[in-house]
Amino acid sequence: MKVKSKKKITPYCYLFFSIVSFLLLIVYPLLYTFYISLTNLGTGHILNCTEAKKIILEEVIYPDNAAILDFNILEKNNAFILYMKQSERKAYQIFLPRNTQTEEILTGTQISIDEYKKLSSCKNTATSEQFIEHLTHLERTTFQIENRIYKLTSLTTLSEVQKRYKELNTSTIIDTKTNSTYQPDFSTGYFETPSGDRLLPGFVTRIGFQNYLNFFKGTSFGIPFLKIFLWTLMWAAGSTISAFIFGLILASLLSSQTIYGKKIFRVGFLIPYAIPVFLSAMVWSAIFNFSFGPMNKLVSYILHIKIPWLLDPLWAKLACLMVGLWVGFPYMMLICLGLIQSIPQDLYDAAKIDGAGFIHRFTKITFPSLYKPMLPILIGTFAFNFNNFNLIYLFSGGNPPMVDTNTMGGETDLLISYTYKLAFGPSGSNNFGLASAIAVIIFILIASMSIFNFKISGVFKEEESL
Amino acid sequence: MKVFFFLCIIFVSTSLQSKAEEKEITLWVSNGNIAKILNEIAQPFNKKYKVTISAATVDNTVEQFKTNALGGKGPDVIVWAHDIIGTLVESGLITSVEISPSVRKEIFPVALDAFTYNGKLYGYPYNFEHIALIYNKKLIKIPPKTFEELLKVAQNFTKNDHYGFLFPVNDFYFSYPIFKAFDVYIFGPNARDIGLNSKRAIEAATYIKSFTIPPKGSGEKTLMPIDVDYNTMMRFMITGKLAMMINGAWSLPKLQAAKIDYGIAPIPTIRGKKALPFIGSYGFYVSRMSTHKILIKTFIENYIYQDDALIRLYKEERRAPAIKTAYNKLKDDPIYKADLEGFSNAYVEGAPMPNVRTMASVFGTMKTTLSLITRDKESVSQALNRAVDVIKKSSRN
Repeated sequence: MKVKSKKKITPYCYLFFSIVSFLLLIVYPLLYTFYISLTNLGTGHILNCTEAKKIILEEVIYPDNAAILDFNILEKNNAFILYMKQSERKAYQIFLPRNTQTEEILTGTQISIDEYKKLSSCKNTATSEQFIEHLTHLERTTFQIENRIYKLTSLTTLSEVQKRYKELNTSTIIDTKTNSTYQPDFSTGYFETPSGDRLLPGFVTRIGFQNYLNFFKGTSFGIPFLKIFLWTLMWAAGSTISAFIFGLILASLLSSQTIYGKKIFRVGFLIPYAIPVFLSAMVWSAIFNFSFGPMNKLVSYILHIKIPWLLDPLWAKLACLMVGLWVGFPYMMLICLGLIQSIPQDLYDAAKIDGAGFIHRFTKITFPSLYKPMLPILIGTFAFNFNNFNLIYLFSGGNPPMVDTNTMGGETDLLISYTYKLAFGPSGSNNFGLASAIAVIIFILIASMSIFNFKISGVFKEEESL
Repeated sequence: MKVFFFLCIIFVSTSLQSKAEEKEITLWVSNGNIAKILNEIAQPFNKKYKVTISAATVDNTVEQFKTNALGGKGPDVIVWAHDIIGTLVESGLITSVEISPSVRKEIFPVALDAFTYNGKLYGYPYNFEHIALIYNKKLIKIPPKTFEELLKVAQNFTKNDHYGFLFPVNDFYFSYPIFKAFDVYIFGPNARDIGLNSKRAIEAATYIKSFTIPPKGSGEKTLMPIDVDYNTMMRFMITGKLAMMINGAWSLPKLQAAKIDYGIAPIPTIRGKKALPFIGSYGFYVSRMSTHKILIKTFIENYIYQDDALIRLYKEERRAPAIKTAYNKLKDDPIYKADLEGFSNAYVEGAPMPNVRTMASVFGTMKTTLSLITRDKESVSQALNRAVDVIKKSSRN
């Protein structure tokens, strides 16, 4: 390969891919989520209108004394013949062309008993194997024999069926049993009678901003939402800042020259980072178990009381923050270690000569030189913790439940796990529309908070001045 | 570059070919051993009909099935409990099935009831299960017949680190028999009518609360820790520190592995009323999108509904076969006789767990509600009223 230097284009070459992936992986999902939030997609509303109609029209009923015909198969002239005896005097045969199309209606003709006997004495009975190849088509085929409709019900039988619903015109379905008519209602997503009786399944339809309205009007908004939002902020800020402080202290301790066995400590402190959260969150939840957890065993051994971890709102929040700290500090420590090593040693030497102690050197040299580069990382971690579904879901499951509200939100639920509960949780249904609507709201919240954070921290100042 | 294109062409052509040839029927199962057994059962079928029925283990089977169905993909069949029928039918993801009359009459009616929704059958049931009183024979010689008796016996066993009687009180599946004994209904004849905050429901919940928080001045010991759950119960049972628990047949292999000499008895009566549990059933659901419905029917009726197949499945799962002949055959087996008979009382009188969609909401809501009640965080009537409110709301959308 020849290398041509195209200095002007090269940066755009790289940019091109990042722009494409930005559009594909960020903008598209975002727009798609927004689109979903305007529909009623969810349990009961998965198919589109025509598919739903097809399912309804496919519905058959087996009459109480449905005729069942046992058939045999014969291969002849590149076609199958199904032949069957209805009674001692009546027999039928049906020709099946080899390439039957789907949803075909095949008519059976009556044959004499003699002919039937002749057919059954034929040697070239089709093997089931050949027949099975066409089964996919035959399953959908309707057989008509003397004004009765039959469907294939097993490899050897046809059963009489009746269509339950008929299409009156493109948008009306009639129930042959009750004669009531159903029309698609695009605000509810069901085929409905004028009085509101519905046919299952429903279909997906655009419902405008109904999901947003439902959320803001419903009882899940209001005080529980506010409580959960505040706790989410507390959690995100608390777990980020505590992890940063703890990680920074450890990092500066580990980089001071008077400590022996630094390597062992570094590896040891990294362990929480190496264990998947999926495991550690559940282990911690067992540790904090009220009656049998080791934490309470220890506490009751020392203080002779049991702390209601995960049962009492306040203690549960504290436990969450403790686990958040445990999971988060190694990352912070790792980054601080790297940054501290980049601080010139001369500064410390000079400070030592001036008689500055450890604390002074930390507050006057280490912290100021770390603060700036750490800010974007802190903001990122904040946004990550804001949506840290895994940890909360696996550790506390949002418990303990809130008292005095009509939602099933928990005291330690984050906005994101609350959304999950509202849309997918105990209600037994998946409400993708509502979930997307709340996701959009959360996105707006986080995005505006992040912009605000970046603004006041001046992370982008350098570029703005350019 | 040329080689690359060549490989591409080979890859594309082979993938097209294999698609045209194979007649493949996929089954999704949550349990790997069951998938293995089903694959073995399917072998003669595959040979006879020149098709490939293959069972795959898929975690979170139902959710995966729903998600795949959204994209028009997914398996032909999933194997799952009957309680999801409401959700799947409402979304139009499964088809109704017809079982041949000769096979149908061999199936226990309760299993068929479980799979019936809006008067139609939506799956092929193959087993059923429910919970009962399981006790440690070393500690309890004769199982109690009434709850009053049981509580008295349990009191004697409950002392430092040993418990007389435990069950996951907050799990509505396990505490339902108590509600049932108090004559509480979940759904009334009208779908909007939910009986979980009736006077009798409050009585039942108060009764359950007395296990973790004995009424003041009664002088009774606390029977259960306030955060008792399934794992706690099993841990104490396996270590021999628990005399009695309420659990299902699925727990028996673990007890056997721990060499616990267990006995099974009906859940005791409360004030003379029977505490009947929910009956659950597992079965095969056929996807609406499957194009092999007849083959699936043939496979299940002729290969799964066979005594040998069902007995193999029983030995793995310990859920009683839904086919009468297989059930009776197992009952004659001295190894399984006691297990089957211990559980058999309820399926005659008991009713299947409701399979409407709202049931999931009932379970979810009652779990939080009962946990508030048994920790004394909220008054019984207030908590139950709230629960009914939430359930009603969830059934609306």
